[in-house]
Amino acid sequence: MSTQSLVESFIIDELPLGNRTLIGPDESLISSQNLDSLALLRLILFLEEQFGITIEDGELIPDNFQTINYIKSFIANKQTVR
Amino acid sequence: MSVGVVIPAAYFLEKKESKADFLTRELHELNPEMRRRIPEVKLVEETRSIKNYSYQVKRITGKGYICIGNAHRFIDPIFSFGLYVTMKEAQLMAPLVKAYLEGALRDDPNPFAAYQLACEQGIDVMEDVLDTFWEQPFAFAAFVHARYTPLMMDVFAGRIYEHQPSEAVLAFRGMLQRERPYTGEDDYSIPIGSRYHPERAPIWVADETDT
Repeated sequence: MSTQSLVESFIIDELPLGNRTLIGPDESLISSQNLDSLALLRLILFLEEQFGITIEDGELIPDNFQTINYIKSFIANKQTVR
Repeated sequence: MSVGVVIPAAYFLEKKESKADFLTRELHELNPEMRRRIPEVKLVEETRSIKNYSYQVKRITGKGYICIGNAHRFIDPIFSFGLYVTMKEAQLMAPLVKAYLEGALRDDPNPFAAYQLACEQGIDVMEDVLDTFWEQPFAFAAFVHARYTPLMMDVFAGRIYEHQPSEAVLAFRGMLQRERPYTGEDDYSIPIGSRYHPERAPIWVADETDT
């Protein structure tokens, strides 16, 4: 599965999004309040485990997790500098 | 019943509602338990707001006076630290006052300087945690629930005067890009939180006509 599919599946299957079965790659996860801070925390733990990355304290800012595309690019950057 | 909500000014402005409509809707949406307890909100008087309830007094001690609790500082009611802090400051102060009355430090320009420093350092810990809660809620959740849970339990249990700043508190300060120097005169007692400097965090900027 691609990064995008893995992240999308986790968000749809594991996080509280109501009855939604789809979330767009550029759809806001935060400003639209699709996910609250605890849901985002679960997402962080998932990303670290799934992609073998360490997210530093200073990287825990909404900008890095605004949309699935932002997350995808964040993961790619982390994997590049690893 | 008297009820209210604490919110960033930016959030209130974003809703574009009157104060009464805002409060009524918030009381309905904030929490299911509150909705159960207050199923129908009927406001019986004008809805009031306070733009910035935070304050900090400089030089809280000196010859012949000493401030404790809300007499010198108030940050935010959200985690209900106030009564504990007041009692703790009274506990810190009592032996110093007793010693002073018995003749100690009579020639000192500020016999209670050590008390002042201890108080400010303790409350600074709380202020930085609270500011992170508002300004970086994402990092706050991660720090409290996953990364620094035992150290944050210390803070929430009131252990803010000893063994601080901990690694967790330093991480909060890192997120706020804030340093807390405690050297030189008593300059540390001037307010530096973003409530006093809204340019550091737009959530504290309010339009006076609306609030």
